[in-house]
Amino acid sequence: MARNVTATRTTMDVRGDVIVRGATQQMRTDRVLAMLSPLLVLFAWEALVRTGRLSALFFPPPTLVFRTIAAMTLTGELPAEVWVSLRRVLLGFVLGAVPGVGLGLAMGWSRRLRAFVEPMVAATYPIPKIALLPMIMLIFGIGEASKIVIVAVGAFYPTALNAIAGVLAIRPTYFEVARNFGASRWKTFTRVVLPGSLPILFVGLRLAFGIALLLVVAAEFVAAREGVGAMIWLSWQTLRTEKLYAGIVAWAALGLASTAILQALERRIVRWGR
Amino acid sequence: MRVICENVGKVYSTTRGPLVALRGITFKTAESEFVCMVGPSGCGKTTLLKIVAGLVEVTSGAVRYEGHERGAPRNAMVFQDESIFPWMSVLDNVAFPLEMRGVARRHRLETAEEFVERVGLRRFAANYPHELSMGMKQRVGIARALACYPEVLLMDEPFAALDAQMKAVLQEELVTLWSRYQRTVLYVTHDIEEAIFLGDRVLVMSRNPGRLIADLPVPFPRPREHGMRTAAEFGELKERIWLMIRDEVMQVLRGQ
Repeated sequence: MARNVTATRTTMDVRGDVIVRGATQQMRTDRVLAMLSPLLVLFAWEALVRTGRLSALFFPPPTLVFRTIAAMTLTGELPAEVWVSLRRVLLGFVLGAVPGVGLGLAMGWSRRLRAFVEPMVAATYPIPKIALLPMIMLIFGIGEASKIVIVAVGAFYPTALNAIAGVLAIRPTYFEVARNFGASRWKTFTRVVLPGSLPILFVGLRLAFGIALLLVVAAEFVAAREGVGAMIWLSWQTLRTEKLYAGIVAWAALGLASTAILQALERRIVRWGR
Repeated sequence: MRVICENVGKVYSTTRGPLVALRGITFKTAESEFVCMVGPSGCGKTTLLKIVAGLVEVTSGAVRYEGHERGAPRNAMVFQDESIFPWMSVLDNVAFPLEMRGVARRHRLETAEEFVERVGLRRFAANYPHELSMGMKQRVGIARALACYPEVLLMDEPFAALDAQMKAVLQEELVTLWSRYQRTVLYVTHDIEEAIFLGDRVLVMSRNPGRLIADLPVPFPRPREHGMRTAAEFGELKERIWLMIRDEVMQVLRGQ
């Protein structure tokens, strides 16, 4: 009897379980391998510094960087710097993305508006936004406003351009359906234009957030006393390399987290899998 | 309601000069008649349907509606390509025309539920279109068009993308629905057999420019069954129409 039971189980395994388990096992192996390579680099780095083959001043060992992060978190220094930068990013992002989405959707929808505004957008888009910082500081002063404005300018373009692309990607048939059933302009906007453009719109929002994170650090390098960028810059000037690295790691972690949050938001809102 | 096309013409201006898409289209449907339009691809049958729907402007002639009831929408279209909104559930898609007409949410969802059930998709009411098969999506499109009780149903090759079996089943379902709702139907197809099986009348169109070349009554009584396709009379009518269209295709091939 016992043998029989074993035999049955094996058959089941051969038919289904083995393949399923094989797939999950492979995924697990992939994940382990993916984590292994950065761990190896960190380990090699640590070993090279400890054996004196690599200068600890230029390349502070990972353990020191993480200890620095922990210490700076406990004293509240790091969270304070991160918050200053994050606040600039969030305010600038909203200030740039909201008009970007609005104008982009309107431009995608109205051929005339597109013809009217697009040349201007296309002409100013290639300007590296950080090159505008002196001009923006001239207009908005050296305080918070200029940092927020440069982030807003950077966030505006990808959201606007992707909103336009999002509307243009909507099948013409969907507009015909709306017309056929007598949709008002407002209903066409809320039921067709807006939801139809969402998948590409989100691409724009994610790009914009990435650019916002980049611009704020660049602006803080030259024009701020607080914030992660300022901290990294100051650490370089004073050769506090472990703080320099701590700043980079903290900001990278924030970048990862924000991408994950935006993706989760997208999955919640765009549920139709396109 | 009756649809009357009087000398309808459509000319598109292209970079190579004017292109006559439709010329002198004149016909009139009877009350609750099922009229099929067949023709080779490029004969302007979709354009004609969109003109009747009011989605495309005529350049000459006119479309009129006779016996229009106040308040009811004149027409609803079932489109050839995928036309149900991927961002709405099946139920919301079917309720869309009612939403556009300002019907209260609870009331329109009740009506939509009824029509979703009619096309056999009750279990999928809450699903999104990407979870459905092509045949199911087209049924949603039909339910959506019926849900606003249009006076004329305009159908543009709704089953063209489906396999033969699915097509046969849905054709019979459509006829059942039609006989229950008694609406005038204009049905465009390139499938002659489908036109004869479904229609009370078949309008044959030709291309370059798109015009009507024949208006044939279909003599078979209803209810019709799938088996009638093998009857001799059915085959004769099919052959007659095919010869008209084939001549057209040959003329185009010879560049005339």
